[in-house]
Amino acid sequence: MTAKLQLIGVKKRLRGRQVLDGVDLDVAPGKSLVVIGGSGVGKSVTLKCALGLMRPDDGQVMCDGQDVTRLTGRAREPVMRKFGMLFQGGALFDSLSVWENIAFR
Amino acid sequence: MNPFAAIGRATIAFFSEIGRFSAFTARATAACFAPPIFLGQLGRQCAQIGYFSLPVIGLTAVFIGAALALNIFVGGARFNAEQFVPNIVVLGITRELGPVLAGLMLSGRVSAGIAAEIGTMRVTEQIDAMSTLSTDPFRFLVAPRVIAATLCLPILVLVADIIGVMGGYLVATESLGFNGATYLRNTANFLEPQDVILGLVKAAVFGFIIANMGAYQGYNSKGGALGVGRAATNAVVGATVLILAVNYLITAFFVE
Repeated sequence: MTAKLQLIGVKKRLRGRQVLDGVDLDVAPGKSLVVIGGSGVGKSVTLKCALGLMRPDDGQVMCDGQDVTRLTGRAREPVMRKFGMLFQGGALFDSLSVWENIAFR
Repeated sequence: MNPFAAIGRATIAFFSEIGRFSAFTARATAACFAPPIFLGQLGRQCAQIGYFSLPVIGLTAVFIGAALALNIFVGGARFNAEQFVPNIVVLGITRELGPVLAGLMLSGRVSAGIAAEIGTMRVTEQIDAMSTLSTDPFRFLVAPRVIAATLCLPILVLVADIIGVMGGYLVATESLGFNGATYLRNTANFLEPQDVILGLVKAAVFGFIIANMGAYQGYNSKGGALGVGRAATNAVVGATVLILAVNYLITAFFVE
């Protein structure tokens, strides 16, 4: 079965420090995966690489079997519609009203 | 510590910053012309940048026009040229002081505001959230601000020109003994369309610089409240220096 989300050998270096060093993970459709670790071990960086908010230095991010590592702009939009993200601090748009936050797209 | 290494690091950092700023400017410019244009955001920014800046622009213009008239009167009296007060006031206001002072005032008010607003969104992950919702932050956040500032600043400068000239008129007629009708006639006869056009071109460019610099600093801010404060300060300093440098270039281009 094709993994819903797959990271293959993802590497990311930030400010001279190797944060991700060849991360591999598969998330099958309908399954949950929990990533646990101490502060600064790269949990958020892994998520940001998966979402395309950061571009990995090396490796691949696959979504439904499609390589989405280098997709940008309009080409990325259909992929992003498959994702939902709850940020640690909420990340509500504080300049918008409640209904505008809910209806935002 | 090797001094050559320090100089090299500073030079590389300087050119990297210029490169990053140029890439950001190119992306911001492209976003201004790429649909969809968020009209609600654009209207909000026009009100914020244009309408709410009118008091500060008006006050600046009236006092500068008045002070300019006094200074030209004192300077002109040294070689019996006091009658040129209206001519030099209108020339100075429309070609130079109107756009430059409006630009500098707005670099404090608008550029810092944009940097703080977008910077706060950056450090609270609102910009990341926007990207995950398939909304390009350049189109939603940067483009409306850049378009609004580029459109509104020429209008503000036009208002500043009129108020500045009237500031000079008030001082000249009330304190320096000029005849009101003669003052206004001299002003109108002396003023040429290219004087106003030069000021408006400068204003549009300054508007772009102000919004773009604020957005750039805010977009790249990091490190919580401290980083947002630093972004606002850098936006004001960067916009001010760029406005003064570009002002010279535009003036030199038009003069030649």
